[in-house]
Amino acid sequence: MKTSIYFIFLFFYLFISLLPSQSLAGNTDNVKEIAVVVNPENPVKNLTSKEISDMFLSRRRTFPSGDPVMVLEQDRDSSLREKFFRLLNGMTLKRVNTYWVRLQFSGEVQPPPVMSNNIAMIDAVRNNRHAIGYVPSEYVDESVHVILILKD
Amino acid sequence: MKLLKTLILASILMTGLNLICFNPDGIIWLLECSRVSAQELTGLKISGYGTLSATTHDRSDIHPVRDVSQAPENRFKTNFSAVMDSRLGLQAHYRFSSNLDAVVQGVLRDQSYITFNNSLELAYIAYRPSSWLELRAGRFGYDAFLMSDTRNLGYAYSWVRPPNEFYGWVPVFHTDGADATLRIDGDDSQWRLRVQAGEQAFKFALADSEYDAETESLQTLSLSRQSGPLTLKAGYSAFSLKNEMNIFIPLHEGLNQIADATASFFPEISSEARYLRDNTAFKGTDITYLTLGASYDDGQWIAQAELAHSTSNTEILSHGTMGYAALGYRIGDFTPYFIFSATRAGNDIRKSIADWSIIEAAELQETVINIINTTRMDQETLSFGVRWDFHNQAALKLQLDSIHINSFGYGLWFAKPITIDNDSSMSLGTISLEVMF
Repeated sequence: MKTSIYFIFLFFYLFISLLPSQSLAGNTDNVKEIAVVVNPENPVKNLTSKEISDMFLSRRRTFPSGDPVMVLEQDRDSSLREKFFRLLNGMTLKRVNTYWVRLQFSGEVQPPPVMSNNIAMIDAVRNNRHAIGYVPSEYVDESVHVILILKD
Repeated sequence: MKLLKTLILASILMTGLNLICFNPDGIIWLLECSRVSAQELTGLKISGYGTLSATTHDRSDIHPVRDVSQAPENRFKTNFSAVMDSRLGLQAHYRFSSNLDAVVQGVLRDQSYITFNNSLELAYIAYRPSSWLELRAGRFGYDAFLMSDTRNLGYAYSWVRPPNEFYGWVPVFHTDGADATLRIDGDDSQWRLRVQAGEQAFKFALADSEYDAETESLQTLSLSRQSGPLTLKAGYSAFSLKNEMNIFIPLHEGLNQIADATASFFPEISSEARYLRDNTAFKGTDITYLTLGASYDDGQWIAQAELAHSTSNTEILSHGTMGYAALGYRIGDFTPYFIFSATRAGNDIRKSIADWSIIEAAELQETVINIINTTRMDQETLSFGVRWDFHNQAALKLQLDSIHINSFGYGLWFAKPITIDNDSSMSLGTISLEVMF
């Protein structure tokens, strides 16, 4: 049975040879502002960056109104997500990933659903009363409510 | 028991069935599948983590183990191990809705017996009837200590392994049963109260024999408070052991016979025989843990400390007081750190009381006393290391441990019998590669 340990070595050989390149998906060089958006029916009109940070780190599960929070995420390795956390709470993606490994694999909480692009994000926030997400400002339309603007 | 097994099986099936996604074009593969469903608010996600590690040390008479589940076959033949900390975890998570999930996780790691049952780390269904309450059933992480449900997740912490003095001896890895979690959001803090009830069964090697560690009424209560960079946690857990250690059964019979036969003429021998019999019992032993922990991470400084007190009503089962403190500082992608950890046995070194040579049983007396002293844990470790986050999904760690083991305090090691009468010093060096995907 101990030979099964060799699978670990085989896996690492494969993983290292396929290790994704460090480059972040997407380009946010021209993203000036990131808008944190909620559903217009959400009674909460203001949130501090600390409150939003606690929600995206799954520490806080409710809006100040008492409603449950439904966090929606962008692609894990996207430069948009990197910029979002850097501006929101100063965390690097490496730190955010490490933080989530602990929560996810201990069974504490599973990571939020990941939206495939900014249009899907706006759609999901529009259709879910308790949703909160983020997009580059230019994607914002009147169907969602901007609760915080993050800029360099 | 049947209900539990059904629940564990159900959670495996619920996530497992979704591993193969049917679409009009046929079957899409695993990872492809999680990518497709990522566009929606429900669906399957496959993820995992791994550690590839190599450890070397400078003693030929002492062999390290990461925890009680390990019994290296090559002990005393080599002072190198590539399996002690290496592991591979794979998780499937199916989100049915924002308040219903099923999670299954398997971990391949070095254990005395690698079976499906002890490689299954998580298999639960979680339901959140409201934002402040979560109910889980099946197999879930053991929540008594700060890191007891993250012991395998090398990627999640800076050091190469949870401090051995604190985690090396804890025989509970997960719980099969049900738990309830209450979460309360304060203004700038979040509180969490969790109650777990269930059992755990796994086999491990002890004194070159197999022990079927089945717990009875395993109950755990923990309270944590998170506020910005600071997390505080208090935990209490209690359980009893269901099974006797098989090779001890003839020993117990022998001791009982001596106790009966000497009752009237040598009462001192009789009472010592009875004491030794009672204190080598596994079956029915009650064990408790009381723990306090704190961790801090402000982006620059990381600090963590835990203190625990464990009791057992027999001497043979390792117990006592243990603690550690760790401090690290981030410099870019590098995090140098140090850890000091120590454990002290809850029972004194056992010495003979009566002279058993009168009944020609001095050898048996010595053997039993040695067995009791083998499981005492009395040692401290100073560790230095550095973690290098060279990639968004991978990190490299280097750690050096300087360990001092006090005589009759080798409970955390495989040591040659001749060694345990004396103090020992040991250096241990480890290099680890951690990945997540």
